[in-house]
Amino acid sequence: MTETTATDASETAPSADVPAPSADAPAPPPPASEAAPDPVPPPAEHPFEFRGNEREYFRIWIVNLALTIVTFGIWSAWAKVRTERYFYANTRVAATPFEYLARPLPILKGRLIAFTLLTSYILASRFSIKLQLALLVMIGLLSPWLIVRTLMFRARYSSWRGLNFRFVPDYGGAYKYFLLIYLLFPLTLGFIFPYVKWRQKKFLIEHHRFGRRDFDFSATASEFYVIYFIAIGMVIALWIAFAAILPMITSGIQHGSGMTGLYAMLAVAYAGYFVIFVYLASRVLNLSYNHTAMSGFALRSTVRARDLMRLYFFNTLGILLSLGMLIPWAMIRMARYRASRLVLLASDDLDTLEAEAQGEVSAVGAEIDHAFDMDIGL
Amino acid sequence: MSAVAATFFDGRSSRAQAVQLSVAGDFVLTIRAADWERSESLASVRVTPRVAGIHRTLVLPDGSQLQVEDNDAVDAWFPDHNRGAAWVDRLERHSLAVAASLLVTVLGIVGVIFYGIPYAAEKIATHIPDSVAREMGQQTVTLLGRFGFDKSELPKKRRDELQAVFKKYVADLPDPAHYELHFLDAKMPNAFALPGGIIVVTDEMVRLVATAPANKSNAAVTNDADGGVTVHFKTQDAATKGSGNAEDENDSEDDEDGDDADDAGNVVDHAKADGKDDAATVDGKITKDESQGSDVVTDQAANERFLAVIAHEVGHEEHRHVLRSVLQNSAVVLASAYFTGDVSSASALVVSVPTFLLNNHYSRAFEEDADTYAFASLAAHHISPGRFAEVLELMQKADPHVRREAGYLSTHPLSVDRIMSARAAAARFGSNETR
Repeated sequence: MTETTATDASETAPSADVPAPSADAPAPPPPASEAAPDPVPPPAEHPFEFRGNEREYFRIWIVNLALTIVTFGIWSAWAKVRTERYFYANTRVAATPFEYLARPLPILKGRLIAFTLLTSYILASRFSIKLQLALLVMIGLLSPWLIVRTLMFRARYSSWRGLNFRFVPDYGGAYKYFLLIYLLFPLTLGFIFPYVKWRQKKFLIEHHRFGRRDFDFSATASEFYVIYFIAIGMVIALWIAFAAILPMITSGIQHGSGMTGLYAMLAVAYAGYFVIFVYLASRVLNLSYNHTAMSGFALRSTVRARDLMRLYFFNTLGILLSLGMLIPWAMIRMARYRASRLVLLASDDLDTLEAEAQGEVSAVGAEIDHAFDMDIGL
Repeated sequence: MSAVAATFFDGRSSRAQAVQLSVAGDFVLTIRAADWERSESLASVRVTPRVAGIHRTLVLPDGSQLQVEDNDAVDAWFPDHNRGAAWVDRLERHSLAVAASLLVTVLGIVGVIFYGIPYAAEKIATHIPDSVAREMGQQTVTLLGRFGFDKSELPKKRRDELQAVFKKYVADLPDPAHYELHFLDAKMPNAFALPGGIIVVTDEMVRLVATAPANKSNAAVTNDADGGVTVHFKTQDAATKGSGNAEDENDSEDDEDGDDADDAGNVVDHAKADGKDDAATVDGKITKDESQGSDVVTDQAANERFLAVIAHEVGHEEHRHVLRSVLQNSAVVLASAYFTGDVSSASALVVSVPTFLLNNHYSRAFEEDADTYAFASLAAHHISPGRFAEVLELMQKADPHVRREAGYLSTHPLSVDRIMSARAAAARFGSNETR
C-alpha cells in the first residue's frame, strides 16, 4: 500500500503569517475546513524529502550519456525526461512524490532550436560582426517568448497529487522584464540590477498556479537590494584588502621570491568571489522561497551559505578530479540538501486543493501538445 | 490475480485515495477503493516508463492518475508499452551494460575530441568560400587597431624589401595571389595568419629577427659553428648541440648563402668566407652599419629568419588553421553546453577547465603542423629550418616569461620541444643539401 497523506494533513485553519494572495488574483475557493475558526494553530509543517541516491542515478546518467553520444544528441531529449522523472519522483512532500509527465519530442524540438541559435551565434561571432549583431537582436527579441513557452511547458507537465502546475502566459510582461528593462541599465549605471532580479522572480512566481490557486511573491525590491549591497560591500572589502597587500606582493616579486605571492593573491581572490557568490545565491534562494505562497500554503527555506559553500566546493572538486564521472553524485547531493532545507507550511488541508475548472483547462489546452511547445532548458 | 496497492488521484482535487488494482484476463484494469470501483481498458491507459525504482504513473482517459510502486506488476500489465524505455531500463540495471556505457562514453568523447571535431572542422573549413574567409580576416585587421596594434613604424625601405622577400617566397605556392603581408606595430614580437591569406607581422618581430642570436647567451646555438664565439650555453642547448649535426648544418648555410646571394644581396660573401661565426659576425657588422643597435637590419640571416616566421604562418593558412580552430572551438563550446547543460549545480569552472585544455590541445596540434610545414617549405627554398629555431630562441630571450603568459607562445607547444624539432629538421636538411 502506498503511503498517503490523509493523516498528516489534518491540521487546518488559515494562519495569519501566511501572506495573503495578491489583490488581482482571482479569489481561491474557500477551503473546506475554513469553518474551524477558534484559536489559530500554527501551520502544519511538511518537510520536503529527497530520496534519490548516487549509485542509482549514476546508472541512469551514464546510460543516457552513452545513448546521447551514440545517437548524436537525439537521445538527450529522452534523457532529460528520464532525469526529470527521477528527480521529481524522488522529491516528496507530505509523503507524495512530484510528477513529471512531459513527452520527449517537444523537448527535442526546443533543444534543436536552442542548438541552432547558439551555433549560429557562436559561428557568427567569429565570422561576421554584422551577422552576429543581427542574430543578437533576433535572439534578444525571441528570448522572452521562448522563456514563456518553456515555463508553460514545464509547469503543465509538473504535477503533485494529480493536480497540474500552470504558467499563465504574459508575453507583455516577459518582454518588459526580460528585455526592455535592460535598456535602463546604462541610465542607472547598473544599480537597477537587484530590482531587475526581483522583478523577474516576481514575474516568474506570480504567473504560476497550482490547481486553482495563484502563487504570490511577497518579497520587496528593497529586500533584494539589502542582499546585493552586502555582497557589493564584501567585494569592496576584498579590493581594499588587496590594495593593502599589493605593495608587499610587488616587492616580493622584485626581491626574487617570484610569483608565489601573486598566485596566492589570485587564489584568495577566487576564493573571495566564490564566497560572495555563494552568499548571494543562498540569500536570494531563501528570500525567494520564503516569500512564495499560495493562499493557505507557504514555504520555508533555510539554506545556509556555509553548507552551500562546502557543497559547491566539494562538488566542483569531485567533478574535476573524477573527470566528470561524479556529476551525478554532485547533482544528487545538491537536490538532497535543498530538499532537506525546505518545508511546506500548510494552514489548509492538503486534501482540499482543487483543479482548475474544466472549461478553463481546455481553453488553456493543458493536455494538448502545442506546435510551439518546447523546453529550451533555461 | 493478486491485487496491487496504488494511490489514486482523481485529477480534480488533491485528495489521495488508497486503492487496489487488479487486471483481469481480458485486459481490463479494475480499481477498487473503499467505497467505489471502476474499470478501464488497459489500451486506454498511458503508462510512464520505468526509471530506476521510482513509482509508475498510470494516466487514465479522464485525466485521473494512479501511482503504483510495484514496477514489475505494471510491466506485466503493459508488456508492449514503451519498449525502448524498457530496454534502456534493463541497460541501467545491468552492471555490464553500465560498464559498457562508461566505455562508450569515454571512447565517444575521446573519438569526438580527437577525430570527430577536427575532421568535421577540416571538411567544413575547406568549403568556406574564400570571400567569406577574407572578409573575416579584414575584419580582424580592423579590430586589431583597437587592441594596441598601430600602423607600422618601420622604414618604408625595409618594408618594401621584406615585401619583396615575401613575394618571392609565396610565388612558389599554389595560389600566390591569395597572400598579402601586413606590418603592424604592437608592443611585442608577434606574427599571425588571418583567414583569407592575410599575414600580420609586428614591427617588434621584424626587429627581433634582425638581432644577432650569437650575442645572446641562450640563443647562441643557432649556428653550432659559432660555438667558439659564444660561451654561455645552457645545458639543454648543449644537448641540442650534441645531437645536432654541426658540420652539415653549417655547410648548408654556406650552400644556401651562395645560392641566394642575390636575394638579400648583403654581406653574404662575408658569411660564406667566414663560416666560423656566420650570424655573429654578419649581424655585428650590420648592426654597426645601421647605427641604432637592434633596430632595422638588412641581412641574409635576418631575412631568412623573417621567412622562417612567414613559412610558419603560411603553414597555418595552407592548412586553414584559423578557420578550423574557429570551428573547433565553437564545437567544443557547443558540445560542452549540450552535454553538460543540465549540470546547473556545478560551477562554470567544471566546463571552463576542459574547454580551455581542449582548445590548447587543438592549437598545439596546429602549431606542430605549421612548424612541420615551415621546415619542409624552408628546406625547399634552401633555407635551414635552424632559422626557425633561432627565431624561437630570440623570442624566448626577449621575454623569458612569454612561455607562461598570454602571447605568441601561450598556446604553442613548449618552445624547447619546437626548437629541438627545428634543430632535427635542420640536421636532416643539412645532410640532404650536402648530398
